[in-house]
Amino acid sequence: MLLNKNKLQKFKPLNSALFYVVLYIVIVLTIFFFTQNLIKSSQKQEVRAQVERISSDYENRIFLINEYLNVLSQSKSINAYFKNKALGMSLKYGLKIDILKLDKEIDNTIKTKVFGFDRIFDFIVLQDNKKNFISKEYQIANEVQNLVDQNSKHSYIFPVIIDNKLQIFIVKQIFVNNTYVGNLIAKVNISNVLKQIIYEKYYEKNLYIKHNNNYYNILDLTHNELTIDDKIELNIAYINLTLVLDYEDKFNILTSPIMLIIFLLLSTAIALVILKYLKMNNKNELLKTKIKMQFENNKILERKVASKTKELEELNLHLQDRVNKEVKQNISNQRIIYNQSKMAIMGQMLDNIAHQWRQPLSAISSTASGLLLQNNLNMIDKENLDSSMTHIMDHTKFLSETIEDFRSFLKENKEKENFNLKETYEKTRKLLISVTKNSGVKVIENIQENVELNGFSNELVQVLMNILNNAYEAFSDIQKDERYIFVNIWDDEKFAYITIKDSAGGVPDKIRDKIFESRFTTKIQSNGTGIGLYMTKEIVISHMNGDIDVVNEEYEYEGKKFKGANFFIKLPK
Amino acid sequence: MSYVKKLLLSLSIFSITLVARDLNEIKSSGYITHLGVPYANFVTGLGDGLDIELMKGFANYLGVEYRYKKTSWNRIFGDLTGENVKYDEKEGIVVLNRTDVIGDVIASGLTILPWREKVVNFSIPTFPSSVWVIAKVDSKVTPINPSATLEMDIKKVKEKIAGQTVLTRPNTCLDGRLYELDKTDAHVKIHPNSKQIIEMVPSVIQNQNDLTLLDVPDALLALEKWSGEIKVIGPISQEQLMGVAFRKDSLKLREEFNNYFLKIKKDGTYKKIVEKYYPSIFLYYSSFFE
Repeated sequence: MLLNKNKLQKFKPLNSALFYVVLYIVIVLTIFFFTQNLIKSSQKQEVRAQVERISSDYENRIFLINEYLNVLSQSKSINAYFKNKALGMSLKYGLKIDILKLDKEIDNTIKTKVFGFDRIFDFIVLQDNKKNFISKEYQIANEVQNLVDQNSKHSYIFPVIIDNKLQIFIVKQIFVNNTYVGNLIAKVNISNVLKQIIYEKYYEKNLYIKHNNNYYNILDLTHNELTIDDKIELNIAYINLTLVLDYEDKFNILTSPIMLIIFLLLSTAIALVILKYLKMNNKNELLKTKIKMQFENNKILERKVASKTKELEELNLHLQDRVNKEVKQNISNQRIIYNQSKMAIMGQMLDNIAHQWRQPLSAISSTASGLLLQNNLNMIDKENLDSSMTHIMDHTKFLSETIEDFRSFLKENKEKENFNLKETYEKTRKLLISVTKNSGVKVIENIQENVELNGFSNELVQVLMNILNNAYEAFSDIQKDERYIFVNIWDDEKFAYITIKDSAGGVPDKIRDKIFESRFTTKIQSNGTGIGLYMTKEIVISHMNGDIDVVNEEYEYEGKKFKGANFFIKLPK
Repeated sequence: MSYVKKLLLSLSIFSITLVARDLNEIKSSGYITHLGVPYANFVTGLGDGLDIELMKGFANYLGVEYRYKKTSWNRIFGDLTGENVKYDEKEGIVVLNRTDVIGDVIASGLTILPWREKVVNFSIPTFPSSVWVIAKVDSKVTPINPSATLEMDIKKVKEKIAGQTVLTRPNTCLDGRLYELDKTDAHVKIHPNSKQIIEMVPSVIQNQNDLTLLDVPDALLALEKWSGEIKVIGPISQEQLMGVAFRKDSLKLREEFNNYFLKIKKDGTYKKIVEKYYPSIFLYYSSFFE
């Protein structure tokens, strides 16, 4: 029972971007222009306050400038000059000293009278009452010279327009003994004077001096053709000047167009962040719903799992019975295979018995026939009779031993016992006499005498018999003078080792892995059951806890090269 | 000069040669002794002055140690030559007495005068000069209006000083006899040897005398020092020159000094020394220093 997906559509990401963008721009612009007006209004007030402060500072400075010139005009050197001149001293005889001194003093005044680091005076000249230069000469416009003629003991400042530029001069007339003797004329660097008062650099560009209804920018004092609508005017004492500040211009970065761009960028960034937040919020809601759905789905799955678990448990119970059945079946099958293997061996053994009994039985028959004939011919004598009877008894004993050998093999070992490997091997050889006789196979044995194991010896007989039998059978394609079987038996502290190596060419690589499988055989169907080596492996590994393997080996023997299978058996003691 | 005096002079010259030092002796001794009288900014008396720096430079040029010996105008020549002398209009050079030679060279704003040239040898001129008449600022004697020539100016001055007391100092460049003041109507007064030349201007300011003679370098300093209290009436002498004085037999030493002086004049060193002590001299004698 999954949730309806329709609920999810409520939390889709905001798609009406265009609408929001437009709305956003409108809001931003409205806020911007509203704040701009507020800023302008605030700036206007601030500027007015500042200009008023400027005005006050400016008046003080003008007063100070006047004072500097007054002091200079009363200096000892200037007075001495005029006095000495009045006394009749000539330049040729002594007056030059006074000029040198007053020049120094004027230079010192120009250099040292500063506001900040800016000089107040561009130049100062001393003239006599005939307008002859006493100190260094400077070009002084006629307009200034004409204004100098005012007869006043106080210094006075006057603006002059020269070449469309506003220039400010201060003139101080010099009197010696109440007699007008000359003038000090100083050109004031009004830009430096005003610059120092203005704190905001921006104002400099928009500050003007108004003189005779003309505006002169305070930086370069050039005439500007402009009309200023929105301005602050302050009349400046001592001189006929008005200080005017035009703040129509957006001289503050807060009111400049760049601010709009900054504002837009900033608010866009904020909007994007908010948008992102909203989207994330929606995503969260979506996620919550998905989690809820997942939870419900999980419940369903849990129920399914529970049901399946129950089925599995039931299956398990049945399975256990089945497994038990199968195991029993398997054991039974193993037993059948084992018995089949043993039956196969038994069959072989019977063949061996028949083969072994044939010759003794033949010998007994011929001896008995001879005795009967001799008896019929009354030729039988005691010596002949004894010899023949001994011969018959020897063969009978052999027959009995043969039976005993087979019977002992067929008898199932009920308990484990210690047995000698060499004896077990020789027993196996006897049982295979029918196979080995006339086979042409030379058996090279290297058997340690005292190798003892604990187990079922007949099972080992079965193992050795299978391997040796296969080896004998593999020589069918091998020349008789090249048929060898090498048997080695030895031991160490823990294990007994048996190797049986033939020269029958070896096990083909492609079947080597399969030879120990049940039902695998290389013999034609009527001859092979495929259970011999399977049982051999089963006995070695499962019954005797050992190990068995086969490798193909190339080797030399008596100067000849041979290749064959080498069975390796390792049995724990 | 009487026979006796001539004899004495010859004997003294003979004896002087026993202790005379020229360039080689100075170099081998490793020092040179500079004779100076505290005077204006030539020898300030505080260990510096134009002539002090000039002679220190000369000692360095020779590679010897500089030594200074203070003397006075009265015995300055005796300290150099071994004979104290005076100038007499009629008798000329008069040997007053013999004394020990304690210096090798005189550099002290010494004006080159004809009678001095008979006693010592001067170097090439080291400083320009002239003698002006100085008055108190409110003196009724007014400065002359400069005319075309110096001679005419001198003549005007001599006319102006008639009936005025004029302070002079014999045996110096301020000696009135040099300028025939006795032939004017001025009352020549002698500034005693016990007083220093620097006191001559104050004596005028203090109305002890109407006028005083002052050489131009000293006058320029006085005009600065007593600005507004004194005035220059005009010249009483022709253009004069100052130099460094050597014994008559210190020819090599003099020659070496001339070489040194020309060198520092050429390389601007001398000009810097003059600017330091007499910056206003260039107003009047700029061509001398070019």
